Amino acid sequence: MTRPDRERLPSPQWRQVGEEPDYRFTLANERTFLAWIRTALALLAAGVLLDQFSTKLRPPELVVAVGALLCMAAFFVSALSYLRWKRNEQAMRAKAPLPHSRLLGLLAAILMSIGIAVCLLMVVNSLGFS
Amino acid sequence: MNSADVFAPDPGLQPQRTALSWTRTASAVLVNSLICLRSGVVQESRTLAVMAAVLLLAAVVGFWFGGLRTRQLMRATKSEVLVRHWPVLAVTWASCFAAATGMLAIVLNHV
Repeated sequence: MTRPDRERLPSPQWRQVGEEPDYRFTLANERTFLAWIRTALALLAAGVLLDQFSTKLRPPELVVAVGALLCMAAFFVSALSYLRWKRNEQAMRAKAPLPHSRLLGLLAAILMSIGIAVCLLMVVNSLGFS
Repeated sequence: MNSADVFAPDPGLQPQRTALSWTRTASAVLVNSLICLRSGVVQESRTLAVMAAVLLLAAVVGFWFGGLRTRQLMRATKSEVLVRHWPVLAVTWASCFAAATGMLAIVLNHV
C-alpha cells in the first residue's frame, strides 16, 4: 500500500534499493538519529549560555573560544547525524554490517577537553589567580 | 487491512518511543530558539531576532510533525512505519541553522 502523498514527495534512489528491514530496526535508527540531533542542540545551548552568562570567568577570550567550539561541534554533529542515519539505513537495506562511526569517540574527546578547560577556568578564577 | 500488515503486540513500545522522540527533539529546538531570541532582544539585533523567530517556527513545525508521526505510528500498520526522507532532512537543516544562529549570538555578544 502506498500513500499518495508519499508519491508527491519522492524518496531518494537509495531508499528504493534492497529490502526493507524489520520495522523495529528502522524505528531504532530513527530514534538514534533524533538522539544525536538532541545532543547537538544540547551542545549548542551549552555554548551560547556559557558565553552569555559566565560574565565573571577570565580570560574572556577562552570563554568565547569554548562557546564557539561548542557551536561548531553542534553544527558538525547535526550534519554527521544525517549521514550516519543514511549509512545505517543503506546497510540495513543491503543486510550488510552497520558501519563503524568514530563520531562517538571524537565527541567524547572534545567534550572531555571542554569539561577540563571549564573546570580549570572556574578553579583558577575562584582562587583569584586571573 | 491485510492481517500481515498489522503489528504484533510490541513489548518494547517502539512506536510510542519513536513518536515521543520527535516531540522531545522539537522541545530541544524550542529551548534553543528561546535562548537565541533572548540574545537577539538583549543585543538589539534584528538579524538575530529574525533567525531565532525562524527557529521558533521550526520548533512549531517539529511539534506538528511529532503529532502527525504519533498518529501515523498508532494506526498500527507496517506500511507507514518508514519515516519519510523530508522530515529527517528538515530536522538536520534546522539543527545546522540553530548552530549558525548560536554562533551569531556569540559573535554579536563581543562586537
